[in-house]
Amino acid sequence: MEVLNWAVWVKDLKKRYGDVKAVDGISFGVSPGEVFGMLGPNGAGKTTTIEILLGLRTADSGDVRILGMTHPEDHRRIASVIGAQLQTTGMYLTHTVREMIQLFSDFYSEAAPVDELMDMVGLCDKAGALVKNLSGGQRQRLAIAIALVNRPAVVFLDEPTTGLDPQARRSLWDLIRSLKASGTTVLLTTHYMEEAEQLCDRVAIVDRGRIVEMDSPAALINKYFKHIAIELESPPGAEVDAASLRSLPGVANVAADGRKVTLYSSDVPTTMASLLGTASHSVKHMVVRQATLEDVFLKITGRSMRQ
Amino acid sequence: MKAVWAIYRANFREYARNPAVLAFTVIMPLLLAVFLSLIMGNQELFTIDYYLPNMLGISLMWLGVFATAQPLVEQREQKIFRRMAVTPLSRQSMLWGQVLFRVSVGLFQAAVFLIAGRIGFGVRVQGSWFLLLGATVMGALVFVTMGYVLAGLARSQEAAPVIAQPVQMGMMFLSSTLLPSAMLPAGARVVVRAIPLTYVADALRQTISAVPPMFPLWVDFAAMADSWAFTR
Repeated sequence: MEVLNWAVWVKDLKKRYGDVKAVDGISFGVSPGEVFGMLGPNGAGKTTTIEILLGLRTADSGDVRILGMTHPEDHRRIASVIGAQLQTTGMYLTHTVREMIQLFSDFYSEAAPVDELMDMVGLCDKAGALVKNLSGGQRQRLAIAIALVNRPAVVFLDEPTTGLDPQARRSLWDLIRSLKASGTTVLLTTHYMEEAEQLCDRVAIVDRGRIVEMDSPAALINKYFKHIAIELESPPGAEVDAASLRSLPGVANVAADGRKVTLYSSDVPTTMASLLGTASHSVKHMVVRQATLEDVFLKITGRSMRQ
Repeated sequence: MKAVWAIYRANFREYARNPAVLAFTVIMPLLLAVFLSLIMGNQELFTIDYYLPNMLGISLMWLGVFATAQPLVEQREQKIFRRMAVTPLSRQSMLWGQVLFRVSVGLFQAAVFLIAGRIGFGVRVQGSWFLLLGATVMGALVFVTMGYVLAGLARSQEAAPVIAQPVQMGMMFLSSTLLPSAMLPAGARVVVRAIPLTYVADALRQTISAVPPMFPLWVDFAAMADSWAFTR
């Protein structure tokens, strides 16, 4: 695809802070209408990448195009067709929810009705509440409403569901799905694997400033895990010997993370039978489940996301 | 234009809903004018005619500190400007909205002072209304600009008062707004001439109450223009 046809296009982006390579050669493209996720632990370089895409930071090297335009030349043209939710929400504390949305609406030549935006993020009952009296999750939802005031073609959401309760997270997922349904391109970052699996057409797994893998969630899981995961938790002092489990029938791989061991098996009944025969005394808890992106991350980077 | 007006209104809301800032920019200086004229008023020159314009000058200075430097630093820490940088709002619109708002507050302060002086003490404007308006706008611009410089120097919300307080205290005592410069030691009188508040207050005294001038009015305006251009 031509550079100009991508909604967002990034080539060999690099940014360092002192000795730290925050972004170390990231390249990807997001097609129009796609929901694209950048997935990785804190400090992986997701936020720096987003900030460069928004024109808030300049890269040390590399190339960026948003709908074919670039910073700083086209900054205002880009700004008028994109929406952004940053990690710090950036609001006047003694403004009400309605006033805050109205203020940002006034920066654009055309804007969605304030009531429609409040409804989208479920803040209608808080219309008259001051920003300083909102909870963290409510502020987050307000920030997302503000990101949508100009009915943007491309929306950047930097950890949109961080700080939201499960219910608010579900309704934000619905909102992102409806954005997709209306043809909006969404680039989001998250460190929730489940979220990326639920929402994204494609996922870039980012670790230490680099993209280590990029594909659809299903393809990634299929590529790395044609197997079923068996999670074991052993009681303190009676740890299972992870290495010895590798030789059990049907086991393709073993990942250990403290007292938690995960077996990836191609033949669950056989593996289970011999597992219970040999190691049942050192198993406190056991779960059998499909492999997830979390497993993919653990496999690729050798580290768990929550470390 | 819509964006300038939006910024103007947003700043006004933040100002009007913050009682502490309202107190510092209007109520405190007005009370000071009343108290000082009551305490010193038995001496011929130090009546309300002297202190009302002086305290209006100080209130304009506090507009620069408490309604400019302080909120700017706070808003910077809230990352408001950073968020606005991702919208089509231009820097010029943002600055125009903010400065127009602050000049309006300056005019509001002058109106409150004149009304309070008229009702409470029968103070009538002696000089030209046009020059008074000019002196107020110029004075506001001088101190608002200084407020932007202070906000630029202060790295954090905690640092802002550390930098601002000595500046504004020094100006207050050395500008002959609290006490006439004749009472200061000779060495300090040189400093008096270097302080913008001296000229702002002198211009306001001359236009509001025809107190004998320290400098010709054109010197006051020239000095205000000069310190504005310098800090800008």
